[in-house]
Amino acid sequence: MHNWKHVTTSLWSRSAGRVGLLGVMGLTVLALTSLVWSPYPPEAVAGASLMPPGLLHPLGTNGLGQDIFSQVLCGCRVSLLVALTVSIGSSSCGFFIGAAAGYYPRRLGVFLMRLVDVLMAIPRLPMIILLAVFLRPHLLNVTAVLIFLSWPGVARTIRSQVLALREQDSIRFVRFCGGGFTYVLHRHLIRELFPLLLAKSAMAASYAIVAEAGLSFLGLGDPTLKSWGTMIRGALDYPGLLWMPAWTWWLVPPAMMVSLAVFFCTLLGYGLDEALRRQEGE
Amino acid sequence: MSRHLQRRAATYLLVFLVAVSLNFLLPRAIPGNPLEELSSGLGNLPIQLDPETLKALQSYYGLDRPLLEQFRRYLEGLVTGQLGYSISYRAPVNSLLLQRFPWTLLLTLSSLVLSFCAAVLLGTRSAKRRNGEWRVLLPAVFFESVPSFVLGSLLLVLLGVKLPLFPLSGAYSAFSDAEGVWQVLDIAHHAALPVLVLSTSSFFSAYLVVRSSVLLVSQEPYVLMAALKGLPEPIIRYRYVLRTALLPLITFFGVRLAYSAGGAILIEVLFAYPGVGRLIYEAVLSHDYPLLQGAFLVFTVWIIAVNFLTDCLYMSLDPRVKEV
Amino acid sequence: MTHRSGIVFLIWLLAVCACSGDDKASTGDPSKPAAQASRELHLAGGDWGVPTPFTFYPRGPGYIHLSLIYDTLVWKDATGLIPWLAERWQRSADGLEWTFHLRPGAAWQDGKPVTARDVCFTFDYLRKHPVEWFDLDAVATVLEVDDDTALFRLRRPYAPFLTQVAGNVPIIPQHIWQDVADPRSSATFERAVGSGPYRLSHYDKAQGAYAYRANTNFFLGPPRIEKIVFVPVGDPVAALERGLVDEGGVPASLLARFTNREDFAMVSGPSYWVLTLRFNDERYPFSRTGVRQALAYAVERDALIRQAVPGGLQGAKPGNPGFLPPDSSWHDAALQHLYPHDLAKATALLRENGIEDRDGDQVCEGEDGAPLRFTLITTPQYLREAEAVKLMLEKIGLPVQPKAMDVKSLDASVREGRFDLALTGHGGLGADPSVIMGFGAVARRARNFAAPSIPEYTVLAEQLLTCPDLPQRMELCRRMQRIYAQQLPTLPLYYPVWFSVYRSTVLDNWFYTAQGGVGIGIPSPYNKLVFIRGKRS
Repeated sequence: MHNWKHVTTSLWSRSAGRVGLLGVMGLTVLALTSLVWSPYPPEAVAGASLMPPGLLHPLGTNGLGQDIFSQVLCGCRVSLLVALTVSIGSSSCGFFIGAAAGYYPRRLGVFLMRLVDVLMAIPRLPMIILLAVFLRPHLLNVTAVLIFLSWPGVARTIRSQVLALREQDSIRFVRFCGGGFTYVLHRHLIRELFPLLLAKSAMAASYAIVAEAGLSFLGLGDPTLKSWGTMIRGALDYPGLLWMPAWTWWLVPPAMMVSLAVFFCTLLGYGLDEALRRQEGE
Repeated sequence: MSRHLQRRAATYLLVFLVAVSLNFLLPRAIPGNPLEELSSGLGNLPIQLDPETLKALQSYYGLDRPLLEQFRRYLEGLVTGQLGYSISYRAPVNSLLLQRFPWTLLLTLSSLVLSFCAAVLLGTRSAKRRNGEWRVLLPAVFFESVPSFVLGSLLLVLLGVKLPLFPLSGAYSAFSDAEGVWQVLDIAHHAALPVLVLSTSSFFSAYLVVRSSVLLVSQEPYVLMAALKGLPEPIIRYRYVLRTALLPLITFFGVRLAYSAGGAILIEVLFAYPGVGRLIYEAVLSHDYPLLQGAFLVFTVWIIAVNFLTDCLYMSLDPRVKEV
Repeated sequence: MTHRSGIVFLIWLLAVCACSGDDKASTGDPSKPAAQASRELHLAGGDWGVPTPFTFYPRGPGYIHLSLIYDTLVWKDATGLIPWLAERWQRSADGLEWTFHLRPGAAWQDGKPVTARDVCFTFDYLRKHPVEWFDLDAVATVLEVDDDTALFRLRRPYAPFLTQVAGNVPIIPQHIWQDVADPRSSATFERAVGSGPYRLSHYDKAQGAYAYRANTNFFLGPPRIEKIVFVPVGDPVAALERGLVDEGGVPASLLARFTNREDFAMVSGPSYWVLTLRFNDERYPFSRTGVRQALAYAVERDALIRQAVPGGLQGAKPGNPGFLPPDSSWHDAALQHLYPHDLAKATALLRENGIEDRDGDQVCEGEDGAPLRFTLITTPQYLREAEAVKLMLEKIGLPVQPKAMDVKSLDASVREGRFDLALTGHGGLGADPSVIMGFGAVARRARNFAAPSIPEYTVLAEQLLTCPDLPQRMELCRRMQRIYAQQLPTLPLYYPVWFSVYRSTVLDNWFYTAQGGVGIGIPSPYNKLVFIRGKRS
């Protein structure tokens, strides 16, 4: 059984984990801030177009005269929301399906793993694009598509872990005493696999951020929300922008923010993974 | 064929069937009508289809038939290699795909080969030094985190506009009479930025895989033995360690190869590169069913084929797999 | 160590690429220096399909490409219709028969003469293989009277026949197409043979590159511009600045970069496009004519142009409640000032319709006493205008929330009636009024546009379509505009202006085509006459 305190201290002791944790916390604070306060509404025309950064607009304005700082804040909210939902959704889906497949390795397991194989062999990005268009652009749909396409990976990992766990003496004993799947699941499997699941969901979160930004960049995301991908696309679509100084405050901030958000989530994932492995090693 | 391979083949066949049916159904479920998309949109000229023309066009594209019959025609077409006629591009889908796929292949293959060579070279060297891991890890993770289109758009500005070293779009100069070496250089020049972006994003994960694999192998007793025998360091590194360490890399390469063709969509769109990815993107925008199906099929077949080949290769290299 | 090797690797990569870059630069763009000498014109490319009538993309630039290779019976210059393949024509008194006399000496690019048989064949063939761009509904038959004379019989009188059919349908050579069963899949590069001033010499679909060479056998003599090259460019404005193209449309906000530069000159013209405030007239309160009129009094169109997009709407003209732009010869100037900015009048009109601010919170309540709130949907491009409209409507106590969405979602919302107010655009307003979307509401074609729903309007629209007499048509059109302005299914906000900047050293006689633009009204400077005439000497 994992020692929680051990995992957290181990995560904190590694610089990767620490940076990731702090970064994700920082972004969360930003996103929460944007819920209650942002200098301007992100959609509002708040000034002249393409104003350089200054007192009124800390990051300047875009071609429409909207405040970039407010949009970056709003984008943070959108990205984190998608990241959180997708990571929770895909890891819980993946966990239950993977656990079921591992616990009943014969018929159900084989069937579920075939399903996983099929889903994993479908070209991902083309599929995301196709589904995003098919479902009409809405944040909820984007999230659903991302969950749909990212649970199989989690399920595969969980299954192999459960396959091993179910042969452990303690669990064999529980099963011998008549503990069913649900009992074993919530008394043993969740506790055993939770840190692993956490690492997996951090990875899923970083994937979700990239995918959402990519979709918005293609113009297939939710058109009513200002996300980082939409901002990047808007900047690149603006005629002649790349030849003006304005790209530095219009294109760079969302680009940096996407990269940082993915970076922090990935680091957190690596950190958790490592902390876990070290603990197992001991 | 071994049992393992047979099972894989069965899975892939299943994948293929599911993909083919999805491929047919999904585009038709997209709201909107391809014929309407032809001339709609803000600011375009109003082309008013009179009912007769609309009917004639629908029957030409077979859109007026019942769904089942459309499906039958679609399957027949697949068998005979006829993928239909693209509504928005006004050309047979086959020829469009044939035109575009080599460019996607060029981008994916060259970026993968480049990044893997670099990963192997640098990964084996860095694995020697075990301390200061995070100094390697942090930048590696950071570069892996930058989404390809973000890196691409920044490089586009820096190396295409500020320092105009590279062309901004396209796969070769239009109307250039260059031949032979010059033509190759021209193509390389155009592919440089997209390939650089794609290889950067696959370099670091490959690098991490090589590094951990090498680290693992170098702890094996036979490597220690070789070191004790006093063999020179390069020989140990490349002949003893690397050979074994490369095995997991093959699977990794295969997976990357399979999926990066689809992953290049964003980069192809960004650099206006004439690959299948951009084609699928434009087909989505114009609701061009036949083209969508064709492009999606190409990606699916590509993934299945590469995965299967990787399986075969892996088996022939690692005898342990046969026992599974 | 690892760091350094990573950086070294990147530098090496860059170096390799840069080398090839330098190599390219020395040989790069070989055609450019010679361009001026050989009268070569570079324009921004893009894939618009193989330029044959069956494979061109049915959007503006596609038809421009088509028009370089193919000729129509009549054409348009800066002032109006001019003879083209047909040297003269007559209309029968009942308007049901049109006779066209072909220009002697016109030949296909492969040398064979153009005859009336080709004209008949074109229309028969296009009927068998319809193409959405060509509306042949009015044409019953086309007969060959003799080698040089073709007779069109119409199903009913069709007033815009010359522009919509004779000036739009490209005549195709019978000897090339007669054995082709499926023109869509067999319309190849080699089949792009017409009688026009240019022949296709290079086409690259993947890159969107075209090259055309002058047809020396052209019936008006060899065109002056000998080669037209459509090069793929990422950013047209930058391409123009860097000399990759010789002409390009430039948004008004970027015009400053080209003014006061000797080598650049500018031509501008009406875009025949309108931004309208569309009301959902199936939803209360916009189902009331009075409410729509109140909004027209409240929205100050002049101020919108001045304030909403400072500098970005240079030259734009304020909306005419009668829908047609002031640049159109059909425009009824009397309607232009029908709804002056008058908040008192707007408030009074709202009150008449049961809408007023009863509790003094600056927000009007409807008849049922509930406060009114609306969303104004638009595309991100017109968000500034939406914000300006919002401020103007706030003054009469109607809070409006602008919401941006992509063009397709907007179109769908409007089509399905899921909106209160929408900012949308209409193009092609320079064409004959009977075919303008949203204006000539011919019942049979009613699809996705706003038109007054009263029967009189429809009757007038039918008459406008068939009436052959111009003064009479003018009067019909004026009456329709008056109804439109009174009913206000949409409120036109402004008509922007198109700016095209060109390198005057290469070609300087650019003009804007009469009656709304090239063909059926494409507001593009690429009229083939420009290329045929070449540079002013």
